[in-house]
Amino acid sequence: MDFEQDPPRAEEELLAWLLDERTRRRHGREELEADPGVRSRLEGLEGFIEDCRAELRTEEAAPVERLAQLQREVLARTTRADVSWRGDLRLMGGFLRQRLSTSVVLRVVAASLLVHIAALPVLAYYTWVAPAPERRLVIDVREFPSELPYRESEQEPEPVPQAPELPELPEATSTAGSAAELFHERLVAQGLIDLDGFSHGPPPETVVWGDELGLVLRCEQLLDERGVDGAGGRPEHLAFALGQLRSKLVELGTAEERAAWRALAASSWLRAGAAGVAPRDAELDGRCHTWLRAAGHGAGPLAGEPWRELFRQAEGELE
Amino acid sequence: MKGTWDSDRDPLVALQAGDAALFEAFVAGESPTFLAFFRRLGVGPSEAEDLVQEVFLKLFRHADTYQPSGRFEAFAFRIARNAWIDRSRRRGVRPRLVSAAGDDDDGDRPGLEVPDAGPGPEARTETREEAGRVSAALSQLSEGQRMVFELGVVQELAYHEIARLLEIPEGTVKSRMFHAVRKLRTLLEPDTDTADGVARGRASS
Repeated sequence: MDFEQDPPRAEEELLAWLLDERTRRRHGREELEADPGVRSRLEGLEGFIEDCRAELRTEEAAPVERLAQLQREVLARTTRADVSWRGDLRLMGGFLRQRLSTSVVLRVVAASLLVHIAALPVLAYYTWVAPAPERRLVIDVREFPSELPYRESEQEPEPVPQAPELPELPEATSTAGSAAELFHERLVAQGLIDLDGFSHGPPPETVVWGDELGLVLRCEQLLDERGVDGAGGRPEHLAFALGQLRSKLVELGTAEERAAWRALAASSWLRAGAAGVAPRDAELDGRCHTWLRAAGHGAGPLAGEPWRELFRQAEGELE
Repeated sequence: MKGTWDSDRDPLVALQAGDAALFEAFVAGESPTFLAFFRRLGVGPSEAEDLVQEVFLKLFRHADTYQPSGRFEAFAFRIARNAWIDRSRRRGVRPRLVSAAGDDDDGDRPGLEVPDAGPGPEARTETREEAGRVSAALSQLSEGQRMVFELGVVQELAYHEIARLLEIPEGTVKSRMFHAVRKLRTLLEPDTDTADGVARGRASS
């Protein structure tokens, strides 16, 4: 169909004639209604369009009050906008309200900000205004606990820890072991050492024993072998060992770290002297006595040469 | 548009000339028109009010740079449609094809393109009850057909104006209008109530 020249007959064209002004200009109504069939369809379409239009237009989009409010809001933001600072504030408030209403995250952030701002004055108060807690030093006289009335403790007394039993010395299975055992007992009896070990002189961990202790034990062993009557033993060995002991005593002298050994060696040397085995050496004997006394009083380090000299002078004066 | 403002004059041109009265009359007269327009597109009441405000604000802000190139009503509806599309995008809602199950008794309507831009099914049902039978039938149309029918029949825009507004050929407007009217007649004619309503409408007109 050439719609530009022929009158519209199809429903689509008839609709266009009804709804489009340009199309309507091309053909007059009389021209269309000349055909009864077209006229009937046109009237049907026209009636339907009019009915739909009327029904849709009469629908109430919103209550009158809401419409009036809506129009007021539009005008307040357009032609009747307040250009003063109040208007700016209102505009900003409206913008914030709009943004807050559309974003949950923004609402959470705003709430957090509000809480922080509200907490700020409280924080400032405690920082600058609130007095610092007073610090006082209280000194008073309290009743001595011993003067308090005695009360039986309701709790069971804690068991007193038992002192650990001292380990038995190894059983003497040899002559040397027996000599060492005797030597140990003698040292304890003389108070040079206690049961726990050496209590006089430098701490055991700083003591340097070396081979010298073996030498002392050797001398003690040979002295024991000799017996009470002096008939037994090995005199040559004993003389040799005592010679070495004497050399060591002279050589090591007053070294502080040798104080413990020196006490033991002095004890052995004086024992040999008392038994008439060691050669007489007045100076060394005097020195050994001094070392033993110093060790017995816990003053081993003082037994140096100047002190020894002082002791000798003092003993000489006393004599 | 059926407002009480002087539609022979352009409100934005009047605004440019310093006359705000015509714009205010336009706001007063066409607020219900735009509100009903958005409601028929499936927008909820409060959101429709926001959209109406947005349309008027955009028009007002356009006044400085506005150059009339057709009927003002067509320009206003273009703004309104764009606002509706923007709102749908903001909400992440896109028109999609859904099957009108239950309505497709004779099978000649395989699937109606109904935009899912409005509220949920319950709210949509509520909207239909409020809007009347024609609105309910209108909501069964595809977005394109509904928009063409709305602009052509209700707002009385010419085909070329609709084509320009929707950025589609005029022939497509004509075709969509034809299919829209045919579907609506199919949906409404069997109903005797609607027939009575149509008769009343004819009598009143």
